[in-house]
Amino acid sequence: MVGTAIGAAMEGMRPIVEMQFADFSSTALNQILNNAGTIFWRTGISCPITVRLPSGGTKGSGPFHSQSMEALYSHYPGLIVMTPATVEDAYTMLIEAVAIDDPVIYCEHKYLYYHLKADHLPNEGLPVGQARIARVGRDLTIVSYSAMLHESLTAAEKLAGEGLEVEVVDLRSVKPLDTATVLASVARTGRLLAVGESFPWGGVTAEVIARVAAEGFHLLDAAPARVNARDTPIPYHPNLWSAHRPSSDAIVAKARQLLRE
Amino acid sequence: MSITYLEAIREAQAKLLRDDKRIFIYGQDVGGKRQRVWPKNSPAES
Repeated sequence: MVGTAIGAAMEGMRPIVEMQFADFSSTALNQILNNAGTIFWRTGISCPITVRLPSGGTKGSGPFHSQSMEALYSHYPGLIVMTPATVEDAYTMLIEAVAIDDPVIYCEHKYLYYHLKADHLPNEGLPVGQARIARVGRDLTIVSYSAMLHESLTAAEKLAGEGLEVEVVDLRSVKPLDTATVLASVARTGRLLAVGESFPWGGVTAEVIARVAAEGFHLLDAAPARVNARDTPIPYHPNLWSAHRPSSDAIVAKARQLLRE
Repeated sequence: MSITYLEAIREAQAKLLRDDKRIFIYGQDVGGKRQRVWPKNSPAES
């Protein structure tokens, strides 16, 4: 599918490839990473394909239908990686993805399909690569994206009951990653917690912390921390799955620990 | 009116297909068996 889309894109079309489950895109890694991601840099010919990845976990989806692949695709040059967390962004970012001349990996979270609602769809959204302050606070910055944005907002609401004001940043796209908005938030709060649903080794949360440590170490009043899924294949049983993925309670616990330091 | 995340993706695709002849969509779930992005009689099925 992706190989055909690449050829069509090079001939002037704007294909959207739908992968059914993000997990299945691993069979197309050569075409996405080695072909689509490098074509412009090798030939000067654009490759405007959009690959839709239904991503993330839902109850009972198991190890082959639950993965979050955004970190893997972000690692390679030549790709844009979008992770919309709201109804509005799901709409405007898909339209924007197709307009971009580079290959775009559009990570739509399956858990959000039916759990989010909006009153209307906007005519335009924020530019790609620009993060959004989803909640304002002064004690701690939580940086998140996709479905984990909503666990983070729930955690922030719980902490507000304890008198703690948590700022929540929605990255919207993880590549490009809006370091400036993250650093500005950390400058206000002095503390950073990065939250992602993907596996912990490397990845987006590690990249956020690495950037803040390198470019904003002087802003930090405590060591940055992160919350990710467990470093095991994603379990099928709903109870195990709930324990495997980051929950608002796990975020609250880590935030409390960070705020004590 | 209330629009879900899934419906927003569906609406975006419909708009894209309407507005630009260069755009086409294909993939394993076109037809709507799994993620239900595609309603019956959607542009991708006609």
